[in-house]
Amino acid sequence: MPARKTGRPISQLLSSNILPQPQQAAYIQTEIAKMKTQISKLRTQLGSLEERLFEHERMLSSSRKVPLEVLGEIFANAVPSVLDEGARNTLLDLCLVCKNWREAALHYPRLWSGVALKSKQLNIATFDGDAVMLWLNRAGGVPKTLTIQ
Amino acid sequence: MVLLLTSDNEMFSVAEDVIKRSAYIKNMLEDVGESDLPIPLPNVESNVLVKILEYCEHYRGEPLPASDVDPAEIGDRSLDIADWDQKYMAVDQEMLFEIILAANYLDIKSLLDVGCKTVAKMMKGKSSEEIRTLFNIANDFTPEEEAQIRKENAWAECR
Repeated sequence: MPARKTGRPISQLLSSNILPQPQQAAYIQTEIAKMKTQISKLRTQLGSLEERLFEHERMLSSSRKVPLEVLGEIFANAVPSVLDEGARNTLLDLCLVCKNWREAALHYPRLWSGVALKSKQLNIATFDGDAVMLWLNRAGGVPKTLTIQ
Repeated sequence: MVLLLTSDNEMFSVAEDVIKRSAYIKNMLEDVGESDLPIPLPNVESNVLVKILEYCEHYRGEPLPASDVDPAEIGDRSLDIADWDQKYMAVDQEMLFEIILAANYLDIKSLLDVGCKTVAKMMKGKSSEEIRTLFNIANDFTPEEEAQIRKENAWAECR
C-alpha cells in the first residue's frame, strides 16, 4: 500500500484539496482502473439481468392472451377490404411478427378476400396466377374481390 | 343493482342499465332473472373492471349497438376514434390489452372495436420487427420459415 507508507492516507485526500504526492497519485490511478473494470463488469451483468427481466415480463404480457379471433379483428382494422400492394405488404408484415399472429391472420378469411392488381402485373410471362389463387383461397367461403387498377 | 365479483375477489355493485352494455351480463340477467348472488367474473381483475365500468358509465343511456352484425362482414373500417375514447384508451399497454380481453369476455362490442382500432393505429406503418419491439413479442420464426413465407407471397410484395 504505497499511499499509506507516506504517512498520509488517501482518506485525508478525499476530504481535502491537498495535491496527492506522486506515490499516492500512482496508487489512486491503480484504484481508478480497478473501479472502472468493476463498473464495466457490473454493467455487463446489469445488461444481461435486464434482458432476462424483459424476457420474463414478455412471458406474462397481456398481449399473449389475446385470442386469435380478436387478433384477426385488429388486423381487419389495419388493412382495407381490398388489398393493393401497400396493404398486402402490411398484411405480410403482420403475418411475419410471430407464428401466433400468422395463425390469427390465416384464421380470419376476410383478410384474404380482396386483391387489387395493377395491369402491369398481368404480364403473361411473369404473372403467378397460382400464387394469387393460393392467397384468395385463404378467404375460404367469403365472397372474393379481384380488381385490376 | 347488479353485483359483480372480480377474479381478485372484489365486489362491485353496479346499476343494471350501466352494465347492460355488456351483452354477456345482459344475457345472464335475462336468463337468470333477479338474484342477490354476485356474478363471478373470473377473467376480470378489479382494476380492469373499474376501467370497464368507466366506459359503460360514460355511454350510459346511449343506444346499444346491433348484436347481429358479423364483424367479418363489415367492409373497410375507419381508424377514426372519438375524442373521449382516445383519452380513455390512453393507458399503458398492459391495461390496453386487459381492456380488450375484458371487452371480449364481457361482449362489449363497441369497446372491443375501440380497443382493436387503437392497437391497429399503433401498428400503422410499422415493420414486423418494429411491431415486435412495440408489443414485446418474440420472433419465433426460423430464418428458413420467414424466407418461405416471403417466397410464397413474393408476388404480393412491393418493397
